Amino acid sequence: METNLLEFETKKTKITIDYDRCEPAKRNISKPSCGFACVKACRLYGRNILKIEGNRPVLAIVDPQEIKRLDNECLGCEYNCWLRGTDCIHIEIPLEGLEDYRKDSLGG
Amino acid sequence: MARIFEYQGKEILKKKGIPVPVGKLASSPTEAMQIFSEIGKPVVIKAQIWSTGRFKAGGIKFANTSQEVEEVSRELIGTTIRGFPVEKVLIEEKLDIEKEFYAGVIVSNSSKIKGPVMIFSLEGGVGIEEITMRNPEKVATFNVDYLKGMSADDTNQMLSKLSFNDQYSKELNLMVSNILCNLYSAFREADARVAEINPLVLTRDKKIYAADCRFTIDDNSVFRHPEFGINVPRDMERPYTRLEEIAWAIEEDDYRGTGYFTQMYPKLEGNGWIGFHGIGGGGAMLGASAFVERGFKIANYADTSGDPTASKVYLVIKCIFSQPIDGYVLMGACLANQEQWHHAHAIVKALREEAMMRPGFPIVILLAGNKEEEAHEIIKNGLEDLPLRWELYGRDFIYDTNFIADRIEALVRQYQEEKYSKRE
Repeated sequence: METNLLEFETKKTKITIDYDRCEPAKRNISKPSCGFACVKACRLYGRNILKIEGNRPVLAIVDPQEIKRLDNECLGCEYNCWLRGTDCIHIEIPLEGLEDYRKDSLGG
Repeated sequence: MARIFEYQGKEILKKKGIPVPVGKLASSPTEAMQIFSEIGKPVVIKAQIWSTGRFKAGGIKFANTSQEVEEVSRELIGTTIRGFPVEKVLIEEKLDIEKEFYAGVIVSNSSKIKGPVMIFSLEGGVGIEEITMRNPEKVATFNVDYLKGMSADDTNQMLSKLSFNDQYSKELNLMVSNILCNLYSAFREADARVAEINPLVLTRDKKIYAADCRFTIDDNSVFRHPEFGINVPRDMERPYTRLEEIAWAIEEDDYRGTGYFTQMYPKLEGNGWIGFHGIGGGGAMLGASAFVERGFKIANYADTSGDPTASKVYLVIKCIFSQPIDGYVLMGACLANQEQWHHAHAIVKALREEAMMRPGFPIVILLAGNKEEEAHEIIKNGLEDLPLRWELYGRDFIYDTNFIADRIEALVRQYQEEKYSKRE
């Protein structure tokens, strides 16, 4: 099945936006109830990595290296989409070995 | 400051032309006996650990026969000395010592110096600190001009201050002078903070050897020295724990603020452990004291100051929660140099993940400073539906360390009572 995702990497994180769950993207509306909270959060807390285009959040910067250089990994988009939108942004912040350690020390 | 082992330090010295005793590294009694037969005379067997005071701790022993070498190396390898496991021993020829000196270069943090200082003492060996305090007239120091380096004139000047040239032969003066110059060169090339030879031994046949040495490397230069095999460039009085090695990756190659994590004990046993998260030093230290006074044990020390990214803060919190703790405290008092909303986002993300694993878990957050109100709003909205015992305080409580400690104590008590009543 074709995925409808926007995925990009910052220095230490991987950000995924699921357009199938994103209200404005899914319904193609310009005034969603979330008010494009993710893009607003990116302006306030982050480095303007996201912008609105075609009624959906897209990357304002396309060069992957430039994203890594600029992004301040504020986590603001994920939180604000969860709080005001449809919880369609997931930020993965891996730390090698931590999951295995937790299984051993905390038992799962 | 990251440490390296004695045998690694001796390799550096050898490359610089400073004589070291004949010897090799062994990781088993069989290897040790083989090396003994190659050396063919009495040896000293030295545990390779990142600790000073090895002699007094039983980490340095002598052996005259193959059987003694076997016994001593079997005794040392696999044991733990000062918290460090002994994996390897250095087998070296035993020197016939006539006299012990001390030579070292350290980076002085004194505001008047702020640079390398060469030190030479007419007495060296075990307890050098006490020796130099007792006999300051036997010690010469020289503030090295970093751009010019250390010349033979400089070392001669040092030695003449101690009347070394009056007491010892011209040849020995020359040898020691060369060693001091070469030691400084080794210090520079290793990007060391400390390079010490103690003792610098004069043997009865008038030869000179670096019998023992200690190097600590500048943390920020470790990346230039893969040959040292330093995984975590921090000075520790014990080996790193597995969790500390994992947590080091938070800071490695990422200079955006601090994401420091260290465990206070290698193993957490029993109850009453607090996961401790400070932002900045002073207030956090007062908090830690207040928790200890109430009978808590501090599982770890963590610091996320200097305006780190939220992702970094999140990972530090995840490391804290990777320990078997009974409560979590964040002490972040009145910081002007970072916007606290980044901490707020990190706290919410981490605690939303942890909450389901630990229903009723006690959490006290003191978060004050720049963007405090916004940060509190983020935390309140983010945690309000979670099954946690959490309390949030701001600028009005930054001087009330005891109050914060009282609150975590009360919440932990409730949590433990609930846990035990469920078990019953």
